[in-house]
Amino acid sequence: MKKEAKGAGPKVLTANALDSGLVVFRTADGRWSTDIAEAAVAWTKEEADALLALGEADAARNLVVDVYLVAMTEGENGRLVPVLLREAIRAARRPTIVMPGEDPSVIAA
Amino acid sequence: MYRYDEFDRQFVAERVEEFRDQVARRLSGELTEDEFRPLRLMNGVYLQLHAYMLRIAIPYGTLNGRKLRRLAHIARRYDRGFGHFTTRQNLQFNWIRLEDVPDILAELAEVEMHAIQTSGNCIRNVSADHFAGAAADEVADPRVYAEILRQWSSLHPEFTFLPRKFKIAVVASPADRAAIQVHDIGLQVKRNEAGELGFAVWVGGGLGRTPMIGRKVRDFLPEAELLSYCEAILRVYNLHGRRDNKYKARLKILVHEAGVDEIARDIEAEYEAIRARGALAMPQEEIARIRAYFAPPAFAQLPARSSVFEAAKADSRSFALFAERNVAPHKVPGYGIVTISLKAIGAPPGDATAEQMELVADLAERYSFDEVRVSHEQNLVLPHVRLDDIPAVHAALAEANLATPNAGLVTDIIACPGLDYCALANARSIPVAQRIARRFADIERQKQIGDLKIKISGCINACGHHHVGHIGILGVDRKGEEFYQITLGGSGDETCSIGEIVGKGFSSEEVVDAVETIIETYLGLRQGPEETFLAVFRRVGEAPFREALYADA
Ligand code: SF4
Repeated sequence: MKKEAKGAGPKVLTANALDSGLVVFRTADGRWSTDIAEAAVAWTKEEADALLALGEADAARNLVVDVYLVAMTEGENGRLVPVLLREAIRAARRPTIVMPGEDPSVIAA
Repeated sequence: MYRYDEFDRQFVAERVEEFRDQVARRLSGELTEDEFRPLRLMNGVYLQLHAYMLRIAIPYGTLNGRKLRRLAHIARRYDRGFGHFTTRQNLQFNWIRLEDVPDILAELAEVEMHAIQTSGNCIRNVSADHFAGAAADEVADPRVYAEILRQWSSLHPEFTFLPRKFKIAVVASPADRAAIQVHDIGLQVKRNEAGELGFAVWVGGGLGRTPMIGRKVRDFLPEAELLSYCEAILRVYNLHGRRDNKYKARLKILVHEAGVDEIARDIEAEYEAIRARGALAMPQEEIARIRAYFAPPAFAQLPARSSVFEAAKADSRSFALFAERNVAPHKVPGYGIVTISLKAIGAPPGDATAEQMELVADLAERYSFDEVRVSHEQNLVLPHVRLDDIPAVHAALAEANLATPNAGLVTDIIACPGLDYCALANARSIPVAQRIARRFADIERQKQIGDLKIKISGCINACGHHHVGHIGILGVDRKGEEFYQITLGGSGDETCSIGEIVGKGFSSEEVVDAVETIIETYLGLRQGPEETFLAVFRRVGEAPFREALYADA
C-alpha cells in the first residue's frame, strides 16, 4: 500500500502520467521523467514541501495524477534508491518477475 | 453462448462513445481527476502500480474463439503481449494508455465484450462453474441463470450505488466449483422432489479483511422467483448496509451484525412486498429464450471409451499424467473436459501470452464447439472435447507450454498480482507462487501429495482467496519487509471453511520452507494416499502443523 514518506532523509517526487499512466518522477528542470535517476532530490523538509507543491500544481494542470513523495536511501554504489520495495518496483518500471514472453535473462541480469 | 441483441449492441456502442468523450475531456483538462475517477472505474480502468489497468468482464467465464482472439490482439497491440486471468473469471491488462481505452472498448464491443461493472459499488460480473454445460454432475446449465442475473443487474438503476461491491456466483451441481459460499449471494441450482428446478440460496459470504461463509436463507427457491428474491436481498442490503465505514459495508457484515435470522426475516418481508405488487415470476418463455442461447452443442453419439485416448495414455507418460489430472468427466459419453493449466512451473499464475490465447482459440474452434472457459482458479478450460481428440489437443498445448498436468495439485496455485502489479499490495504474491512451484516441480511428488490448493494474496483484500486455500498465504508488510502469514484448512468448495492462522508469519526466505514443512507433516499424518490434506487437517487440527513449524521457536 502507498505510504507517505515522512521524517528526515532524501525524497523524490513521483506520480503517474495522465495520458500513459506510467510512473514518472519530477526533474529539477520541471519535467516528468520515467527515469528515477533524473529525479530532483529534496534533502530537507522545506525542499520536500516545495517539490510537492510544484507537483501538485502539475497535477492541477492535468499533467500527472496521484503525486506523492518517495523516501530514498543510499544504495550499494552510493546511488539513491527508494527505501520501500513498492517504490523500487515502480521505479524499475517492471515487476520483479519475468513477464510472459520475456527473455528470462532480464531478471538474471 | 449469449448473443447481443440490437438493444445490447446499441447500448454498449453508446457507452463506448460516452467514455471516449469523457477521456477526451479528461485529457484536455476539462474534467479533474476527482471528477473522472468514478467514470473511469465504471469502465474498468484502474490506476495501478505501474500504469492504468483495464479489467474486462468475461461473463461467467465463457469465451469463444473470436473473443479470445480479440483479447490476444488487444494484448499485442495495446499492451505488452499478455493478459492476466483473475479469480473473478475476468481478464486484466496491465499497461494500458488512457488515450487507447476508448479504441480498446470499441474493439471489444465488436465481439460483444465490455468492461462495465468490473469495478465500483455495483453488482459485479456474475461468476459460474467453469464446467457449466459439460459437468457430469450438473442438473442444469448454471449460465442460464447467470445470464438472467447479468441482464437484470446490468446498470440496474436501483443497484448502481450500493454500499459496496456485490458478487453473485452460480453452480448447478452438488460439487461447488465456483466458491459460491464466499459470495454475497451464492446460488446452487437443484431439483426438488417434484423434479422442478430451483435454487438453494446463501447470503453474506465473502473474503477480504473479514472472511465470512454465507448463510443459507432458502433451501429451495422456485426457478421463476429468482429475480424477485435477489431483488429483495439487494433491497435489504441497499437499505441497511453500512455506508459509514468502507470496511463494514459488505453484506456479510450486515448478516453478521444483525444475525442471519433477522436478515432472512427482512428478506422474506421485502419479498412478500414485491410479491404483493404482483411482480413475481419470471415468464417461462423468457427463461426458455435465454436457455436457448446455452443449448448443448451437437454432440456426437460416441462410445464412452475411446481407444485413441486409451492408446495415447498407454503410449505416453506425459499424456497419461495429463489425462489423469486435467481431463474431467463430461456428461456426454465420449467427451471430456480439458483444463488448460496457466500454471506452468515458474510461470506467473493466470498469465497468458497473445500467442497462447490464439492457440486456445484455435483449439476451441476446432475441437470444443468454439467454447472456452476461464476458471476462478485462473486456468482455461475447453469444455467439450472428444476423447478421441484429446491427444491432439494435448500435443498442441504442450508445444505452447500449456499442458502442465497439475490441475488441482500443489503447483496449481492461485496468486493475485500482488506487489508486482497492484497498488494496494503489501507484499509480492507471484514470486512466492513461482518458488513454491519450483520446489514441488517434480510431478511424481505432486501426485504423491495429491489434491492440495495453495492460494496467495498480496494483501488483506484477499483477491487470491487465501482464506479458502487448504494452505493460504497472506502477504503482510512488517516494518517495510515482506512477511507471509499462513492459514490452514480453508476450503472454497461445498464444505466451505475459512482457514485458521497457524502462528506468526514467515519472511520471504522462510515461507517456501514453511510450506514444505506443512506438506511433509501432512504426509506423515495421513492414513493413506486417499486421505487428502484437507481431510487430515480436519481430523487432527492445526496443532501438529504448528508444532512442526515452530518447533525450534
Ligand atoms: S489481494 Fe491485495 S495485493 Fe492482491 S490483487 Fe487484491 S488488492 Fe492487490
